[in-house]
Amino acid sequence: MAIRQIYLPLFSVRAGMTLARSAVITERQVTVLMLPAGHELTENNLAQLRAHHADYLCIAEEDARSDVLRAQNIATQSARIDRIFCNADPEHPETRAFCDAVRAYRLV
Amino acid sequence: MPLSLKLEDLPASIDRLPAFPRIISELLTDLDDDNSSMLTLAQHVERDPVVAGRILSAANRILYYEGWPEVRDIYTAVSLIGFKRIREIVLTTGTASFAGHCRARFSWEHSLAVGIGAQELAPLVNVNPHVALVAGLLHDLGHLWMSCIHPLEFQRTRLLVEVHGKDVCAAERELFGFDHCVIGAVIAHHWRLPADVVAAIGHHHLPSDNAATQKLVAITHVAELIANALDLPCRDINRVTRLSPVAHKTLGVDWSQDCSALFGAIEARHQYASVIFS
Repeated sequence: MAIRQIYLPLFSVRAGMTLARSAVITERQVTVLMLPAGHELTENNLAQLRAHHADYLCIAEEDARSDVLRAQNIATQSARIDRIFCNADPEHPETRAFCDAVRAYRLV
Repeated sequence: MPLSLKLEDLPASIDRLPAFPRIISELLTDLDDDNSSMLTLAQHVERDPVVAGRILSAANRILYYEGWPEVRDIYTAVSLIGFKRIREIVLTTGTASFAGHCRARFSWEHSLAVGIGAQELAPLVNVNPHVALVAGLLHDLGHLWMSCIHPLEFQRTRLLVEVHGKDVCAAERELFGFDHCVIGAVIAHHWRLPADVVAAIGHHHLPSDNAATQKLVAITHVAELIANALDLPCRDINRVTRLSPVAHKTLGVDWSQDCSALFGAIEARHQYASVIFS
C-alpha cells in the first residue's frame, strides 16, 4: 500500500504513528530533541514533544484510498486549484512555478 | 454612489474604531529584549484584567493539549509555556480582540493564516517572526476600517468581488477612492506601528518592484498568496492573481523544490491556532 505524508497538529498525533520526517526541536539554537524519520512514536515521545511545545509533526500514513477514490480526490483538488488561480496569467513564470508547487503538494 | 473621501480626512475617522491594544505596539518596540518585554507584559496584565484573562485563556488551551494543569496567573503560564510563545499569544489575542470589537464582517481566520505564513517565511530572510506575525495579522486592517466606518459601501465592494469577479482593490478604488492597502497603511501609521509593518500593510496586495525589495513586504505578500492557494480558511473568494517576481526574488524561495515542509507547517499550525484562538 502506498504511503503518504500528512502534517498534523500535535493534538491530532497518537502513539503508534510513524514520523515521515524527522522531528527536531531546538531551543536557543541547541537541539534538545530529535526523532528520526521512520520512528514510531511512543506515549513517552509525545510527552517529550508536548513538554518542548512542538505544535505539529509530519506523519507517514498508509494511503487506504482505492485508485478510483484517489483519482476522484485529485480531480476535485485540481479543479479547486484551477479556480483559485483562474485569474492568474499562466505564462507568468513566478506565478506558474508557485501554482505548480501548490499542485505538487495538494495532488497526492 | 462612490464616496468622495480624502486621504487627509482618514485619521479623524480612525478614532471611531475601537482602541488599538497598546500592548501590541509596545511589545513590537522591544522584541529583542525579553526582560523589557516581560516588564511591558506585566504592566499591562496588572492594569487590565481583561487582557490578562484573554492571555490566560489561550495559554490554558495550549497547556490543556500539552497535558498540564490549568494555571491562574500569567507568570506560571510563562514558566510552563515560555515567554516567546506567551508573546505570540499576546500579539494574536490582542489583534483578535480588536477585530472582534469592530464587530465587522472580517475574515479573522484568513488574517491568522497570513500571520502564520509570514511567521514561517520570516527566517528565510532573517526577519523577526513576531514582527512578521503582526504584519500578517494586520495586513487587512483597511478592510476593518471599511466595514466599521462605511459598512454599506464595503458590502457593495464585496458584491463586486464575490458576485461579479472584480479585482478587490479595483472595486474598492471605485467606491472608496482608495483600496484597503492604502487605508490600512494610513491607520497603521496613525497608530505609530513600526515603519516596516506599515509598508507591509500598504503594499501586501500587489507590491511595486521597489516596495517588494523590502523583506516584510515580500513576506506578507507571499504569505497571503500561500494562505489563498492552500484555502486557509476555505473561502470561495480565495484567488491568486500574480506573484510579484521581485518579492519572490527577495525571499529566494525556489518553488521547483519540494515545498511540502513549508506548506505543511503553515497548514498544520493554522489548524492548531484556529483551535487555540477560536
